[in-house]
Amino acid sequence: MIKKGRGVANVYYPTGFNGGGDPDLVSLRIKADGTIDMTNASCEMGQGFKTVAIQMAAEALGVSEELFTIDNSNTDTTAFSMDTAGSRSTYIVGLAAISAANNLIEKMKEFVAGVKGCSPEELDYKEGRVFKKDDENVAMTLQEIGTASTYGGVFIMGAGGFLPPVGPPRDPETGFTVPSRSYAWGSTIIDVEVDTETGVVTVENIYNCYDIGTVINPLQAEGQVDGGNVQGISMALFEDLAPYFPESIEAYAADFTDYIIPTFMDIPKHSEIKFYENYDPYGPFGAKGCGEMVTNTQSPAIANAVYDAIGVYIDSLPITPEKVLRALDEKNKTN
Amino acid sequence: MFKSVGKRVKKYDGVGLVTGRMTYVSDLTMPNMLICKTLRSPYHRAKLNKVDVSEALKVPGVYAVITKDDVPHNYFSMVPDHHVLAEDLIRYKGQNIAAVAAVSKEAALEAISKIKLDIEELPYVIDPVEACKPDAPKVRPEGNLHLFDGVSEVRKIRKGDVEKGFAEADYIVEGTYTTPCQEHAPLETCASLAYLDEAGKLVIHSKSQGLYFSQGDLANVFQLPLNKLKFVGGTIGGGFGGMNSIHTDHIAGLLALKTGRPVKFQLTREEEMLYSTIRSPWIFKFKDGIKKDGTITARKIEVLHDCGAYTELGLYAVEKNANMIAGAVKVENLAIDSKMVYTNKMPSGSMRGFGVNVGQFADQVQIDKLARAVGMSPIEVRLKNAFKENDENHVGNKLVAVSAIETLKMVAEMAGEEISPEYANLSSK
Amino acid sequence: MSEILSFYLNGNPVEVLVKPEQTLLEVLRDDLGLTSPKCGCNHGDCGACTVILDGKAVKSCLVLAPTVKGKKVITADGLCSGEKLHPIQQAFLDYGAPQCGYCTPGMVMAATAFLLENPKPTREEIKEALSGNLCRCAGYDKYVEAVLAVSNGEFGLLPEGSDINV
Repeated sequence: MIKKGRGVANVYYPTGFNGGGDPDLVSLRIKADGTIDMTNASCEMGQGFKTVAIQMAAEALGVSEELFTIDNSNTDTTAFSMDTAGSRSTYIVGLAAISAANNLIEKMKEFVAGVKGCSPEELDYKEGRVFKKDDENVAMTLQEIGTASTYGGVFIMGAGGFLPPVGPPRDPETGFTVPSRSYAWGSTIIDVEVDTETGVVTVENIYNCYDIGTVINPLQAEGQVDGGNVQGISMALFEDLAPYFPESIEAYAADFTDYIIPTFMDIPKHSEIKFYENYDPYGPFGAKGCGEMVTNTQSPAIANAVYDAIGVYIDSLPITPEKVLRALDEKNKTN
Repeated sequence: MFKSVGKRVKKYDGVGLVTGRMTYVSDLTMPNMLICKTLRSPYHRAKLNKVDVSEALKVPGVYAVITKDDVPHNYFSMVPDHHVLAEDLIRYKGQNIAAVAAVSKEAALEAISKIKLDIEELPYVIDPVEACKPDAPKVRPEGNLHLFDGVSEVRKIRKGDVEKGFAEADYIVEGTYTTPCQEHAPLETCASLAYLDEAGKLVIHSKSQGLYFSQGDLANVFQLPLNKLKFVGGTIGGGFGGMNSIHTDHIAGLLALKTGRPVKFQLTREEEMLYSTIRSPWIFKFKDGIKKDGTITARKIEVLHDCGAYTELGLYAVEKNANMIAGAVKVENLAIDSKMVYTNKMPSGSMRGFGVNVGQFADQVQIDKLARAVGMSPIEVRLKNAFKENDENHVGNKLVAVSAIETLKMVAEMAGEEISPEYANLSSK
Repeated sequence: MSEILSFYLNGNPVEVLVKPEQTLLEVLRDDLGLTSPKCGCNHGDCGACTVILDGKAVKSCLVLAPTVKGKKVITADGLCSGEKLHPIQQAFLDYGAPQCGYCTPGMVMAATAFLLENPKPTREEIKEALSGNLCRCAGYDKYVEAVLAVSNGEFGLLPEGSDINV
């Protein structure tokens, strides 16, 4: 018999390394034609780091993201990044990019002041243009600054960094500390079908509402959520390297035939995503970390939905057909 | 309000992805490149007396065979207790013992088969509960339980008085939850290509998630200053936390230094599955008190993390887990005891949701059981206890931009769930 | 014994010395230097090595190289001409389907071969057709949307009469 059930989960997740203290640096170098090279050594592993980093630098300078290239490729010439982990990159690289952009603006003002024979304090910057506050016609564009500085023998590179404040040492008696200043929040409702003959659990509908602060790039963020859903479902229902652990660890899965990850056929029939953009006072443009939290709600929501469907909790992941059938047997015995 | 922020900008490197022009580490080759293969421990725990590589060196096409004696500093990882190549006590099946660089995969594998081990299998422990017992086989000479702050087997969080909280409760709900060994399974297996550049600098094309993170770690292993060691990479075929741990960079680098030729070391899918770091198992025990009106009065939580054979990122996972596991709900009376134990299995790496989502599985199923115990809807029991703006979380951290209630209400609306008027008007503010 | 294998790769004749036990994937990557067919498992499980062989999508790690003698092989890098992407590639890009991108060239080839066979598929047919291609990052949804968009003509007509459609 097919039984239907619905489950909910509600979580929060810290942004950045536990306890802070994980800095990143960004450099922004203006080229002869006014285009900009950005560097930061965070890793692009699919999450959209390069795209989102450029968007935040572009926003800070008020120019199009089309002007940018980004180099994240090496430890000789690319600005330092602590790591790409802990849902930190958008947040920390974004804040470092804002700092680097401000530094670039200051350096451009100094350069333009020299060219126009005024003081940097008399100048303002807006959307790719340095101009005199009292006479906007006295101005240089990024392109003009790039050409004049490069061929004028002046190296203009903005550099900046961000260090999340280091939390106090954990109190050994109470555990009090500060893991992070910023947290993302998320809630998920999942509908499942449980086949009581086979024990197979199928995810029908999945509804996610996530607060990752300001969404820097909805296309990439939706992608993260889609992938989070599938990894979360996979953690809930499939993945186990050693199914007979802790009795045995010998029956390891050694390939994708034995270690099951979801295919196109395992995605929910219906998936809805909404972002509740609760502006983070510390984050870049109000953003919080996104990457990890979006894979956290699915396994408890599914376990809770299975209970709703068949009246037993499976407290041990993954929720395999074998566990479902054994739990149903147990329940029928006691009834 | 924003110009670029909030736009659906397409992937910066998207053309490279859809055409396959993107070169990942696994796509790289170099002239004169050698292929690396390693000999791994056949036992979970063993005493390694001697490694005889003399016959392996005679195989045609073999340029180098290395063991622990060839490693300048044989310790790596975030907590640097992991051996690049095994010392006398083998701690997990698949631990690297020796490595070969040869002109072809075939020659490298033949050389591996010619390495002679003088090795004694020892009793081992893989069950974290068994490993906590005093007479369990010792995974580490210093004992199986980690000592927090150098002194305590238990990492504590304490707030209020849990016994008082349980006394105030109308229902007590207990639960035990477990999570399994999970593999990151990125589509690209871990790979490195190492070579010496024109100035003698060691260059490693790496699949690392943190180029500088790995560089700092391995500078120590190679005993090189940072201007003599360059990591290259930054675009990888999936990570999910697994590439915060070093699987191939150290060995490829050592062989490049030894041979002076480019060396490529890529894990097979089987090696990646069986011997790379994992999301390792956890056991959570919850005891919660709740009043009839749905107020949670106390939570007592015991955590046991099975860290595997070396610390890797296990300790960090325990810290992060402890700070988050009591959930996005207010709890006046709280006691959390976390322990970490070493066992003879592959070490605990970081994996997306790192230490937190395993705990949230337990926390969120437990909250569901609380709702059932008092006959409330699972959504409403969460709304009733949810953190609000400026609340302190469980470790004294003031929370801002809080959205537990708002995301719950919004997702309920999306799914067509009714919320009773008493809770429908709640807000985080 | 090694032998000289001739076949057509992305419309061009190639000759390469192969061993009888070599797979098409090994020849494409190791001997011909292609990067678009990826190796994810070498067991036929993941589909990252999918290419189009005489009009059909195949997992090139399961095809013995000598068997493609005289046949036509298309890979993801050969599907686009210069800057101009194939409609499937453009759709994947515009819909934000790839994440790390390692599975993407294989996904491109599987989807292209499928649409040549079934130009107006349903959502379920797309999912079934691509279910031999694993992706660990992206969650599949945007790939399905992108293939549907191509089948609805959103990205123009699929190239006809090319080497693909043999």
